[in-house]
Amino acid sequence: MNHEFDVIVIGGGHAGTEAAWAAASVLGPDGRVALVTMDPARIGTMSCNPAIGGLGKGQIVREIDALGGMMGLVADATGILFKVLNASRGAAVRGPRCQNDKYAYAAEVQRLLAGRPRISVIAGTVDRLLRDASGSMRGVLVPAGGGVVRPESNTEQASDAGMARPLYPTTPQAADRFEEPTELRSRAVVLTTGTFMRALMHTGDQQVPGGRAGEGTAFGISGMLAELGFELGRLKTGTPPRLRRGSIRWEELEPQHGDETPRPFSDLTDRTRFPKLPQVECRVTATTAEAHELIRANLERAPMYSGAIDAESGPRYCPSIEDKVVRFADRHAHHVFLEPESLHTDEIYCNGISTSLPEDVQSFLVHSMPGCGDAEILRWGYAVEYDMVRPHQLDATGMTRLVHGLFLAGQINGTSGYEEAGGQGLVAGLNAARLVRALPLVTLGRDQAYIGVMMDDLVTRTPREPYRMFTSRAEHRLLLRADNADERLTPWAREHGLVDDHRWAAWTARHAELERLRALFEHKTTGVPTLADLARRQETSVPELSRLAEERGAVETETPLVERVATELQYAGYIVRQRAEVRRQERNESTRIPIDLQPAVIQGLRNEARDALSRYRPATLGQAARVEGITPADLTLIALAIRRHTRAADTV
Amino acid sequence: MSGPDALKLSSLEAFGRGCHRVTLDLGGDELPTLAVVATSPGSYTGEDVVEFLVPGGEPMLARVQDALQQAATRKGTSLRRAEAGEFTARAYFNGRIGLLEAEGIAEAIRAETDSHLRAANLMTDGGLGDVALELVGELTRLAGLVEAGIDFTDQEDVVAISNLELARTLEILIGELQTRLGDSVSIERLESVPCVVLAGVANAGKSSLFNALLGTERTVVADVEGTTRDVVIEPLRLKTLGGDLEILLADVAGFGGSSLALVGIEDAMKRRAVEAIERADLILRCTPPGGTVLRLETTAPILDLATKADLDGAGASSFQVSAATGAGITELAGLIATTLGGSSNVLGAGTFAISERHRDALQRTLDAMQRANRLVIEDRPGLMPPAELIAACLRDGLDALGELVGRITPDQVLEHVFARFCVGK
Repeated sequence: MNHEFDVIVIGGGHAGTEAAWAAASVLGPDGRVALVTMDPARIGTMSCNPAIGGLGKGQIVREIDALGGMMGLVADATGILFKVLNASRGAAVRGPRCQNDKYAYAAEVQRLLAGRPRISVIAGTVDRLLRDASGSMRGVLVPAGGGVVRPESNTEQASDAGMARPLYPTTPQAADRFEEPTELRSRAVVLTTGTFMRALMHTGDQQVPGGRAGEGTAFGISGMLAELGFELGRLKTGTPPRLRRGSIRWEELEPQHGDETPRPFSDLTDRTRFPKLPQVECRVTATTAEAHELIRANLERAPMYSGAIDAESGPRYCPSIEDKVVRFADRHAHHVFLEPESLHTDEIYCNGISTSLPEDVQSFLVHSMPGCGDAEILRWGYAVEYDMVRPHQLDATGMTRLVHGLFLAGQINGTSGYEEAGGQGLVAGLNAARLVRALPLVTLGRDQAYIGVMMDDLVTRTPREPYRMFTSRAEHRLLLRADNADERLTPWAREHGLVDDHRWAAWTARHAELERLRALFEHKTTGVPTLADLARRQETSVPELSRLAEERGAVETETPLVERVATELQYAGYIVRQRAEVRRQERNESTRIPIDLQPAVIQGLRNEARDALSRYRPATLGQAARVEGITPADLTLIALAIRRHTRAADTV
Repeated sequence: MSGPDALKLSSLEAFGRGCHRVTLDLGGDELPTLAVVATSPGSYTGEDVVEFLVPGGEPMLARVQDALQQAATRKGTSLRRAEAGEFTARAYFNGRIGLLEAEGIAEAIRAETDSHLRAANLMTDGGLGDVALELVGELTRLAGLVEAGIDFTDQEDVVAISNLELARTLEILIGELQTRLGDSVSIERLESVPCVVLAGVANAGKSSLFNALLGTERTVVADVEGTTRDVVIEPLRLKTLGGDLEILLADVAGFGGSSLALVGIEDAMKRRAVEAIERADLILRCTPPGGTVLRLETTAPILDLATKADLDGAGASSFQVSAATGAGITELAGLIATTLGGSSNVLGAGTFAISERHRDALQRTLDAMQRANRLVIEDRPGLMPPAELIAACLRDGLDALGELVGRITPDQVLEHVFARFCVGK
């Protein structure tokens, strides 16, 4: 067979699938995309918490959707509990979240991929990246035994009829097998290794190589990256034990419900047939003082805590129970949310007790929780440590500076979370396709998208722990809302080939409707306040505003659109101020630092600032301002150097 | 000299920090001199610095510069004259001083009066910088707490700040900043020391009055026309109700007759006297008994004085003053202050000096904190205070302060959250 591709994506997780999807969109019907992964049956797996979205993360899912990505569609089709976090707060800080049937989720990702024949899925563990004479990407090498896998032909969307099964087989059919190491050629490669590079799993003092329970590890790639000159780091993360639902005294525990009127993530999800799957509830239990005591006594047996893991740092915002017990010694209990992982299996995820403690301690911990005295542990919690590439070696386009044509996305860049991975995958896939089409690479600004904030953060500072999104990372938070992701990003995505006619038509119709509503809100009728006045005063509820809008405008309204217009009006004054701040910084953001401007020749620059410049190679003055180790004084010097093309250091 | 080649240029590589006796070769002539060496990074500029203490005046200085320039050419390196403020600029760029200090030094160099100099020194010493940094610390902490209440509400372990405490803290900060702003005097105001010019026909007793007001013998006084040959300016501090008012008192050459033609003085002198009168904020027109009233074409207010009031025939319609007896001198001082509209331009204890740029930044910070506070205390039935808008106001405040002490990134705010909380997933 022909092994030439336009774009090759390595890894079938949330970064890899979005990358392949975006690249295929941009390349169009003639494009050829390869998705190479160790086990195609596991494409789209939710490795840890079977949930999508949350604070800061829900906004990213909305952005991925607005940019034509998959995550919102898949989450909507497979969600079993939808809940907007911070629902009582303002629109800018609400975080849509859903829990999913994890089997249905993976199957739905696979179904969408299978619907795009220009994406070839290839089973195999890539251990070599190939370069041409000039050092640019030429392709990858897949060992013998790998090969193209074909999805089952019957690909209906998930339903509650039964447990969803993978569409892709783990191994290729005999006819498709590579009998010898096979070169796949492409000038653009997106590498998304997740937690699999030199991965090591820990439970107590037991160590098993592997990036996910029951799966292997990728050894070759990190050696290869080191050989190419990349600076690698090591991170760790953990996952909690899973329990069998039937063994939990479920009814004794306090329930947690989803929203009464769930809202989908995707602009394309049909609201009349949503949610698709039956909705569930979760239950809340808690850890106990006795368990905390036992954990304290066994700390040296917890590799995530005791330092047996040589990774620099674990996450502070998703800490293991052993970390929580130590850091908050005065607390005698921590909440644990028991979340169903599927409609059709008995697996319960214990949200709140991620751990690397040995089995005997985990057992005590679980059984001491109310309602869990007889709980059967289906899978032990474990920690995983893995290699990452320090992301300062990237541009905000996702391409590495060291190897032309090599893109990185997801946990390999030191991030955490499906949403963060998906956002990076989308940017990398988009730019990989643009690179092979000889189009200029593009980036999203900090004032445009959370994804832009994330890419900029990654390339201007080295994560010392897995990076996750928070709304507070976005200085333009009031602009970057979940509700307006489509207006912020879909026209941009359309321009860059990510959005098909179907989505564009939906966008155009919705946009027209919004414009109509905006006009209606400002419309003056004598004797009564305008809808805009009512919205600004915040005394009229959104449903009431909707009713009034229909009354006054004789148009059918959608509550979310009315709410969006009301939100805009309430934020208007602040948004004007934020836009002014954006403009104030625009000059810095648009001042490019010439690539040939060597930090060494910038007159008078402090050594620390010089090192920071050499390390991060910021693309613009604005980015330089955010690089760690660069002070305002340094920035002035850099600006001067740009302006006058520096002369040699002199004596006065 | 400052720069990487400063030691090499002066052949002082072998010498360490300190003061050294050296001989400069001025193209054949030897000049014994002292060289003060400060090495990088512990010098004023942060670079290697050599200072020569050269005897003599301008010509000698020029020869030393020539000699150093030649040495530079000989040794294959370059040497150029520093641009205005370049040493301080280098100190700033090399991280030796902050922006506020640099501004302070610039003000010190421009300072013409004591209070201006003191104000400049206050800026240099980081008085304002400390105030701004303290505010940044507090606002960052508050922003962190508000952010924690937004981003980590799904976390049982996070206790964000209560509205009551937020309002209380904001009110304290607002109060402090208001006091600071109220107590501050702008550098521009300190700089704008009014100039009071003594004008009058020759031998009208201006110099005697000048000395009487100053209480010192500053100018040569003689009963001969045209004794004062140049413009003499001295600072003078007057008491006013609003604090001290510093003025510059100028004594200029007397004018002969009633026209502006000067008696026996060159054109340059004449020009300077006319310029002083043009720049004046107040003119004390001195007319001795029987003397001619000087005609002045000026927009500045004129205070007519009948000088030498101890002699017979002093003009009855004017303010009578006698330098010889001291009569009217104290009253005159008061009258000058009142005429100038007399708000204080002198720093009192506990006050501090800021430039318009600083005031603007602090004012915007204050506005932002007040907006935040209004949102916290605003009564919205059934609704929580809008945390995201409060956070936006606090960020505006931090952005404004950032102009004084450098930008505060969202990361730094998050650090505060992490430092305090256990944040679970």
